[in-house]
This record gives sequence, structure tokens and C-alpha cells, in this order.
Amino acid sequence: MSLPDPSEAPPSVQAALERLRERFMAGLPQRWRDIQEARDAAAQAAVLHQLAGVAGSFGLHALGQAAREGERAAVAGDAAALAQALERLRSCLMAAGVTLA
Amino acid sequence: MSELRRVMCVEDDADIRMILEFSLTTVGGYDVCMCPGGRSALQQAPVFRPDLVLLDVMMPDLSGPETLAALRGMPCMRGVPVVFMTAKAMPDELEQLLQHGATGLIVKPFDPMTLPKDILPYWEHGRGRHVLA
Repeated sequence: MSLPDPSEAPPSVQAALERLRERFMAGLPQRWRDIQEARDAAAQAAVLHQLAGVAGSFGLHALGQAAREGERAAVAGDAAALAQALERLRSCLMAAGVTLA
Repeated sequence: MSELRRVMCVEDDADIRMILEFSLTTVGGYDVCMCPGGRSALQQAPVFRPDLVLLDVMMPDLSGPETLAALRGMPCMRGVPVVFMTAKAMPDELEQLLQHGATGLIVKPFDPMTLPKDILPYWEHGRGRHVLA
């Protein structure tokens, strides 16, 4: 099977990807709430892990990196590093235009 | 020579399933079966008969390694490459995952525009391996 060159994706494909990105962005406030309301460090790490794994696929690389750093801090039990990572994450969300409660 | 046609994706995160489906169907043109967990994959594998499986590692019902072990025990999955998808990025973690017998690893986040091509080497070099004795 001959696959298309990604750089030559037709506008319809780029438009479809943009629609998916908007759907993903619409779900980010809920992900932020899930991080805030996680019952323990393991649950918080799991939510951050998921976010770290997906944000970059929508072009939100800094957000994904902040989530990854938060996951590592949560797993390590490093409260100070976790607080810093979550602050970076909050900044990335706001920079992306996400409205947080 | 046969072609890679059917790809099964096992992933519990709805957003990742969404971008996987876009990538593999809209960009790649593959037939795709999306499974939200390991148990679903075990049910769908004999029906869908995938040529290749993309398997998340951290899932709540069955983990990726548990799902992989169960898939490897199914006669219909003989020789089918199974590739872990993981957001783990540390080299020692990746090495541990490969020891479970996966054909390979793709680190998340993936690029949805290149993933259809990125999985081809795993199919070309991995199919036919991991057959049952």
C-alpha cells in the first residue's frame, strides 16, 4: 500500500485534524479537574500520564511535557516538584486558551 | 506479497482512540478496530483478525502486558506483530516492556500524520514471529 506523504496531506485531512484538536481542547478543563480532584498520588499520576501521552499528538508539546514532569513528581512523591509542574501545566492550559474554573 | 490492512488498537483513553482512528483510517487508509480495553481486544481479535496490534500499556481492566500474554495464546494471533504504545519515556522502562515479548514500542505522543508509515517496519519485520510452539 502506498501511503501519502504527510507533508502533502490534503486540506480536508488538515481540517479534520483541526476539528479533532478542538474536541480534545474542549475536554481539557475536565482533565484539569481530574488532576485537581484525584484521590491520591497514584490516581493523579495516572491522569497526568494519559495527558502526557496525548497532548503532543495535537501539537501541544509543552503541555504534554509539563504533564510528564508532573507524573514523574507524583510517582516520586516529590510535592514541591509536583506543585511546580502543575503550575507549568496550568500556564500551558491558559496559554492554549483553555478556561479553567 | 500481502499488505498491512487490518490494525487493531487497544487504548483506554478516548482522545487517543480518536486520534488513532483518524491517523490510521483517514491518513493511512487501514481498516481499524478500536478496543477500549484488553478484554475487548480478546473478544475482537478472533472476529477482526488483525494484521497488527497497537497496544496501550497502562489500562485499568487488563494491562498491556497481560493483554499481550493472552493474545499470544490465541491461535488466530500466531505471527501477528503486537506493538506497545506507551507514554513511558525512560530507557529502562522501555527495555522492561520489550521483555514481555512485544514486537516493538511506539512512544506516545505519536505524530498522527506519520504513524501509518511508522508502523510498517513492525509489520514487515515482525510478522511470522512469536508463533506458538
